[in-house]
Amino acid sequence: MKILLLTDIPPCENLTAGLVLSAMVRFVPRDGICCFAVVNPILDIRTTPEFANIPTRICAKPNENWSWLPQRRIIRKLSSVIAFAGESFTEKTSVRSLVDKAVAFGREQKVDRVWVVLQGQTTIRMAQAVADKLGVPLHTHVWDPFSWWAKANCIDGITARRVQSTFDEAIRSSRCVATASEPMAELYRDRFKVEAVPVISSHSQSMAQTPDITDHGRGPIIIGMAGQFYAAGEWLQLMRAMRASKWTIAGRPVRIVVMGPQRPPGALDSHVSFLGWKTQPDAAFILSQCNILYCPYPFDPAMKEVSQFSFPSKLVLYLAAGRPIVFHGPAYSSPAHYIKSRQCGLIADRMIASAIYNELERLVQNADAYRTMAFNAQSAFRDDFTLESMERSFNAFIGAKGLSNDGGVLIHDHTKQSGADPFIPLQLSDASRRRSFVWIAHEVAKTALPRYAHFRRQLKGVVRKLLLKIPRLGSLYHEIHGLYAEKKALERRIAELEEKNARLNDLLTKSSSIGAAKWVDAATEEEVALVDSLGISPKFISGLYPGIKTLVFIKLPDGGAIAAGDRQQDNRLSGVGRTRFRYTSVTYVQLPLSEDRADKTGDEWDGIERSLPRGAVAELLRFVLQERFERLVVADNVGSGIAIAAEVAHLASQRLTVISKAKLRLSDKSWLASQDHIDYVDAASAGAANEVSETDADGELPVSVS
Amino acid sequence: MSINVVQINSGDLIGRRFNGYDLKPHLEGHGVHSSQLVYWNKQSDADFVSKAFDYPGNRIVTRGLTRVESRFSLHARLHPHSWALPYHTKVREADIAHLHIIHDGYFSLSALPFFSYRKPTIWTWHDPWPMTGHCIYPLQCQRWMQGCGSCPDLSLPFPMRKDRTAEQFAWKRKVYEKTKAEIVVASDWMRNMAARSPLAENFNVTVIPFGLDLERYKPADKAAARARLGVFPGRPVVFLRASSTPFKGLKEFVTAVERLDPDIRLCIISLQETGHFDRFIGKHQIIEFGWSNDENLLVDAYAACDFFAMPSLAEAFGMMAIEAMACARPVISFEGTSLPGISFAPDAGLSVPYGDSDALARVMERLVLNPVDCEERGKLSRVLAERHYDIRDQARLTADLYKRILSQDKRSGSVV
Repeated sequence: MKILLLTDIPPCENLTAGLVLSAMVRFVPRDGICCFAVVNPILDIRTTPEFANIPTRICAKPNENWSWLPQRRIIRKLSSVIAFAGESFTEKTSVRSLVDKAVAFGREQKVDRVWVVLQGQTTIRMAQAVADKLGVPLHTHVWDPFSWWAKANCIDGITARRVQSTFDEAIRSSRCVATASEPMAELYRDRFKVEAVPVISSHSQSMAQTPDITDHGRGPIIIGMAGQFYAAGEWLQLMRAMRASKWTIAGRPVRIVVMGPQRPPGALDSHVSFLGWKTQPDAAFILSQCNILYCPYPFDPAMKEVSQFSFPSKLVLYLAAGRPIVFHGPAYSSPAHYIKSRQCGLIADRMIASAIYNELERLVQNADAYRTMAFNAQSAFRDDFTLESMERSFNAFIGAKGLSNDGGVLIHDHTKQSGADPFIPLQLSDASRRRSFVWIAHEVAKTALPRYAHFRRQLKGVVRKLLLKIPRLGSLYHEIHGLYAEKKALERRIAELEEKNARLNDLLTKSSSIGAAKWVDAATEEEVALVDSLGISPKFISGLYPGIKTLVFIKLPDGGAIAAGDRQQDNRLSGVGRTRFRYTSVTYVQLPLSEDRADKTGDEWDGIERSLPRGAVAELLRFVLQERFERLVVADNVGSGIAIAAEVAHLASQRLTVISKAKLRLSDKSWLASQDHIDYVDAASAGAANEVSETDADGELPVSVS
Repeated sequence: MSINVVQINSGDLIGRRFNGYDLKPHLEGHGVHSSQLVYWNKQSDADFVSKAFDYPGNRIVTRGLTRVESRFSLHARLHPHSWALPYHTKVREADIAHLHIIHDGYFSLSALPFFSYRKPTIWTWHDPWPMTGHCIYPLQCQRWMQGCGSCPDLSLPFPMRKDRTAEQFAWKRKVYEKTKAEIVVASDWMRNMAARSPLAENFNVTVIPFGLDLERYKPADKAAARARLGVFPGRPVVFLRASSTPFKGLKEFVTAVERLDPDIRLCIISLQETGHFDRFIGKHQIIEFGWSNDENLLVDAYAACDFFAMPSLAEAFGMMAIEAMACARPVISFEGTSLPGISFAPDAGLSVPYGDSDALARVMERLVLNPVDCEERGKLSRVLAERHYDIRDQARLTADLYKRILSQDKRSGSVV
C-alpha cells in the first residue's frame, strides 16, 4: 500500500487538524505514505521528527479567503464580483499547476491510492483530478460541510455552487469517505450511495478514567468544562442560571472548573476556576473529578449544518473522563443524537437559562440515573473512541488490513533511521511564500494598515481644526465632548462599583464557604497542637498568606492517624488515617500513608508522576477544586508527599509553597527544580511566627465559627 | 343555499383559532364556503388562503407608510391600496366579507364605508381598539366613553408620540357613521363595552363566543404529559402564557409567585416569552417554551398543569382560558375583564380583585394545597366548555349570522 495524502495541513504538532492527521498517519505502515501539502502561506506549521521519514512536498495554496473584502450591503455585491474573478483565475492557473505537481509527485512515489482532505476550494478542486490522472482510487476525508467554509470565507455564490458541485462529485466518486460524525456518514451514504466511515479523533485506552461515581448527595457539585468557547452565548446562559439559583443546584453549592486555551467569556465569577491549558491526559483526569461535564454547542441557525454533522472533540474527552454529560445544544445536533443513543447524559435543547438549570438539577436529584449515565459514558469511550476503534475506522476508510494479532493498536514508526541527516522541520520555502498572493497581501496589510490608520488620524486632526473655526460647530463640538467626558466618567465609576461588588461577593463566598462547610470540621486542640509541632501552625500560615484560603498538606510523624472520634463520614478521605480539619482560613489535610517512592523511582518528574497513587491524587484534587483554595502549602518533612502535593497543585493550576526548616537541598531532588509552580519558604528565616497558638483570656483556643 | 365568505385578516395560522381558519371545515357543514385573504403572514399552504396585494414592493411601501403614521401619531389611515380591496378576486367572488384584525398596519379604516357598500360586511372586534382613540385596551381609563383626548397613557399599544386621540376618535366616528357592517364580539364583556361606546352606536352587535374542537382539547393523562415535558416529580404545576405586553398581567403574576408560601415549590410552564422567571430558578422549576404554534405542545402543557393562570388586566375574550377549561383545568384570573365570566368564576374558575397580586398568590396556594378542590373545578370547567365553547356551536351561530346578513342585504337591494 502506498498512499498519497493531499491536504492543506500536514501532520504537525501545533494545529488541531494536524494533530488528528498525525494520529491517523501513525496507523499507516512505514514507507506506506507520502504527503503533498498545499498550505496557507501565513500559517505557522510545526512539523516534527516523528514523521521525518514521510516524503513530503509543500506548496503554497492560492487565496481562499475573501472575507477581507468589504461585506456591507451594496459593496458586498462588488466584493462578490472580485471574489468570483479571483476564484476563476485561481482555478484556471494555480490549481492546474498544483494538480500537475501533485500528479508528478504521486507518480514518483508510485502511489496506489489518494487520500484527500476536502477542506477549502483548492484541495476540493484537486481531489478528483489528481486521482483520475494517477489512475488510482480516491479516498476523501471531510472535516466540515463545505457550505460552512464558503460562508466563513465569504466566497461568492457562483463559486460556492461550483465548488459544492465539485465537492459532491468528489464524494460520489470516492472509494470511501471519512467523515467527522456518524450523521455525516449516513448523509453521504444516502445521498451519494458511497461507503462512508466516521473517523473521529480518539485517545489511548490508558486515558479512560473510572472515577468513583457514588455520590453521597453532600458536598459541592463541581461542573467541568474543557475546550474552546465557540458557544459563548450558551455559556453565558449557564452563568445566568447559576447566578439566579445563587450558585446552588438542589440546595448544594456549585463550583465550575474550566480548562482550555481561552478564558470563559464575560466576567469571571468567583465560583468559576479557570485552570488554563492542560494536556489531554491531565484534562481527562481533572474532569473525572468533576460531578458533571458541561458541553455547550451553538444554537445559532447559521451553524445548523455544522451542528448536525460535526462532532466536538471535547465530547470524546468527556467520555474518557467517565462522568455524565449535560449537553447544552440543539436536539438536531450530532452530539445530542450520540448522547441520547448511548444514554450517557442529558440534553438541554433550549438555550435559555432555565432549560440548562433543569437538566443539571435532574441529574443531581437522581442518583441511579447519574450512576447509569456515568457507567455508560465509560463504556461509550471504550467502545467508540479509543485508538483501537479509530484504527479500525481508519483501516476501513483507507482499505488497509486489520488490527495487529494481539488486538491492540498497531502504531508505526515514521522517524528517520538513526545515522540519517538531522531533522529539519519542513516549511514552505521563502521563495514560494513570497511568490504567493496571500503572503504578499498579508505583508502589505501588515505594513499599510498602521500607516493608513496614522494617516486617518492626521487627516481627522486637520479637518477638525478647520471645522472648529466655524463658531457654531465649535460650540457643538465642545458640548458633545463634554457629554462624552461625562459618559466616560460614569463608565469609570460603574466599573469601580462593579469591581467593589465583585470583591464583596468574593468575600461573601469565602466567608460562607468557610463558615457553612459542614464537611470539614473545625480543628480540635489536639490537632492544632500537632500542626504547631510540625512547624506549620495556622498562625504561621495565616501570617504568610493573610486572608487567602489555604490548604496545608500534612503527614503525621508516626504514620498514624488522629483519632477519628465521631468525625463525620465526609471528613475522612477514603482509607485509614486520612482526615481534614480547618482553622479559620487554613485547612489541613492528611496526605496518604504510603512508602516514600520518590527516591526509588529516580529523580525525573515523569517517573515520579507515574508512581504517585492516582486515587489519592484524585481525592485531593477534588477537594482542592471543591473548596477553591487559593494557595497550597506543604512542609518538606512529608517525603514523597511533596510530589503528591506538587502534582495536585499542577493539576489545579495552583501554586505550591514548600516550607522547610532546613535549607532544602535542591540537588537532592532535581525534579523539584523542574516544577515552575513551586515557591519555597525557609521556616527559620520566616521568623518567630511559627509558635504555639495563643489562647484567649478564658484559656480557650480561638475556634472558627462553623 | 351555499354562501361564499372571504375572511380578511392579518395572517392565517397566527390566531387560527379565532380568525376563521379552524372554523372553515365546520362552516362547510352549514353550506358556507370560506376562504381567507391575509396580508402580512401566509404560513400555511392551504389552497383556500390567498395573500392580498401580493405584488412586489407593496409591503415595503406599507411599512413605510406605517412609519409615517407613527411619526405623525396616526393609525390605520394611510394605506391607499385599501380602496382596491373590494375589487380583489376573492372579495368579488364572495357573498360576504368577514373582517377580523384589520388594524395592524395594512388597512385604512377610511376605506371601510366604501368597502362595506360594495360587499355585505361583518367585522369581528377582537379587542376594543375600534372603540378607542388609540389603545387596544383602555385598562382603567374611561375616556373612551367621552371621545378620548387627554390620554393618560400614550405609550400603550398602539403608542402615540403626540396626543391625537380625540382627533382619531372623531375620525373613527365619521367613518363608522358611513359604514354598513354587522359587528361580532365574543363575550358579554365586549358587548357591554360596545353598548356604552359612542362609536358603536350605529352598529348592530352580535355575541358569538369562540369555540374549540373539543376532541382535540380534552382531558389527557397528566403523568404522561409531565414526563414528556420533564416536570420534576411531586411539583404542583401552573401553566400560563408569558407576555410582557401591558395587558397580560405578567408583572402581577411574578409578584404573586414571590409572595407564595415559601414551602411551596412549583413548576411553572410558560409559552411565548422567556426569561421572565429566572429569579425563581433554584426555587421553582421553570419550563419555558418560547413562541410556539405547536398545538401538541399546547395540549401537553394543559394536561401537565394543575391549573391555568390568566392574570390579564384586559381581555376581550380569553381563548386560552377556554382551552384550559376544555382540558379540565380551572382558570384563575382578575376581575374587571371578560375572564371571570368566560371561566365561570367562582364555580369553576377563580377570580381575584383586579391587579391584586397578594390575592392571586392566596388563590394559587389554595389550589396547590387543595388538589381535590382543584380537580373538581377542573371537571366542572370541562362540562361548561362542552356546553358553551364547542366550535360546532360557533359555526352554527356564525352561519346563521351570514344567512341573516345575506337575506337583509338582498331585501335592501344592495349593489355587490
